[in-house]
Amino acid sequence: MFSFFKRNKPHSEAPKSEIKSCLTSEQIAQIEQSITQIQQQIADTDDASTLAALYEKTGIFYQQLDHIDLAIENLEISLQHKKTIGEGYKMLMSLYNQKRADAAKNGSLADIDFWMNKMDAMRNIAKQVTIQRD
Amino acid sequence: MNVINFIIDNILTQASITISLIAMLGLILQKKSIGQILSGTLKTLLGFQVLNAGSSIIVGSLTYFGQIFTAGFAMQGIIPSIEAINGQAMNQLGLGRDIALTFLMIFIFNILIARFTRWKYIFLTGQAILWMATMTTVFGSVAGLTGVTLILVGGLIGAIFAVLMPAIAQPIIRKVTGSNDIALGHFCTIGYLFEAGVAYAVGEKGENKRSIEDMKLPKSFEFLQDTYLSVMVVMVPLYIITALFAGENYASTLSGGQNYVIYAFTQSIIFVVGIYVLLAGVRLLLGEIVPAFRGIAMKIVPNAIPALDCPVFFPYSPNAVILGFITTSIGTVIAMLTLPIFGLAMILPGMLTNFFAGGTAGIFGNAVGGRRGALIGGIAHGFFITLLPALLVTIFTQMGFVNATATDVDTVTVALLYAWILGPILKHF
Repeated sequence: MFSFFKRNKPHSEAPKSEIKSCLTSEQIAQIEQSITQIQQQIADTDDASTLAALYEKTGIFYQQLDHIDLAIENLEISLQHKKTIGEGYKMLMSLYNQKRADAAKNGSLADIDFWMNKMDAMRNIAKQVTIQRD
Repeated sequence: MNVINFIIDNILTQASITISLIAMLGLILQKKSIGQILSGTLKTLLGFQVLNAGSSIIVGSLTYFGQIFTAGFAMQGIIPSIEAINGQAMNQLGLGRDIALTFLMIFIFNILIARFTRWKYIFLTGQAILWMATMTTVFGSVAGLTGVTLILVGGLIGAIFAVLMPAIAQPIIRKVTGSNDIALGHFCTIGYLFEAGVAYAVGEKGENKRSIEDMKLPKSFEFLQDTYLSVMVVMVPLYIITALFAGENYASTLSGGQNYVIYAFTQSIIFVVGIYVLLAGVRLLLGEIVPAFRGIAMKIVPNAIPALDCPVFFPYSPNAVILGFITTSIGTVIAMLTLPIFGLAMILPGMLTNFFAGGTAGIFGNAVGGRRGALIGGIAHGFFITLLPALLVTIFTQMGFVNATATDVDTVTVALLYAWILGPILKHF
């Protein structure tokens, strides 16, 4: 059950760079087109739940394109409109952790603190939303 | 020489000063400005004193509760509260300085283990490390350890648990989250694995595994978002019912002329106030230390896997969390009623532990044994997390702790390790 005493095997997940290179130019164009369409929909609505869902989609698309900062920005806006614990939440948590790891590699204590604080805030959202889901 | 002796005898023996110096060290290592170092150090000092004040409030209320419980039910009634244990150990038992230094050593040993072994887990739930430091210090001193040995042994054992617990939970966490990026840093992990084991034995397997239907808590459970309301919801009826069983004749002797039911109600609120004050103190205390040391840890171990508090994992299986909370609560009530039959103290259920530990255990049960595994495993988990603290009650009572026992099962396991293995070995030396 546990691999505690075994040697570490590389995990099957592909590195981020490989994921990025898997996208063909057509796929990239298609995603960019989807983002443009969603941005149009965002401009046409002021319903918080709809906006949250649209920004979440945009964030996920940006992550697929490896635009991490834009992905984070859109996923954060999504949570500001409505707190949810769906795919966007999990992706944002993962991106924060990725940023935290980058900050650690760069040896920046201020950045580590910045991203860890964001991860702490995600903990509170998870607790709150688990209790009062719609 | 006189100055050094004065510092050692009068300043470094003060727990509040020791822990403030630890915070100061962290802030200096982070190269903070003098203003930030000063304010952070003073906040930590303040936090320790607030924690002590909370502890005194809790002890007053628990003493009353113990008296009416014994009168009402002719047995010892124990409230599971690691906060109350920590407060009493730091304040009434005078172990504050040793707990503070052990806390620091757990951080340091954790960084060293992660740096020089292949287990890269850095435990980042500061409050849980404080509870672990409390238990290693209390039970280390029961085992006969003192001074530097007490702190180093406690620090090492605490740090081993800080790496070991995320590591043994990681295969299931990896299965739940689909990645190896983050780990679980919550000292209830042995309970989670216990539930996973039960779920594996009795649960559904392979194609027969059924997922949990969409489950939501009724709106009335929103109080769980608030720590203090959660405690109050249990404590108010508990104190009042116990006072009613104790009877007016006896309970009135403690209420100083006030109606005994109203007095019980007031005492239950005072208990919650004590928890409120104590946790405010803990927040102040850890507010400067934890960010400082987690930053340093991440810098020293750049490829660390952060072990995070349990709610981070709730989004991966929210229905299992709700089922885990419900089934664990059932298990704790069963244990509360049955343990006294076997001569153990009556351990009263704790709503917060049931939600956080029960909910996380539900994720483990569901991941391993599907719906049936989570259901049966959850009840078994509730029983298990009540049984372990019950085993500590005698030692806690002998040490002078008032009507409380620890909650987080990993810290309880460490305590039992000291009491059953380390203590008897040390007696031969």
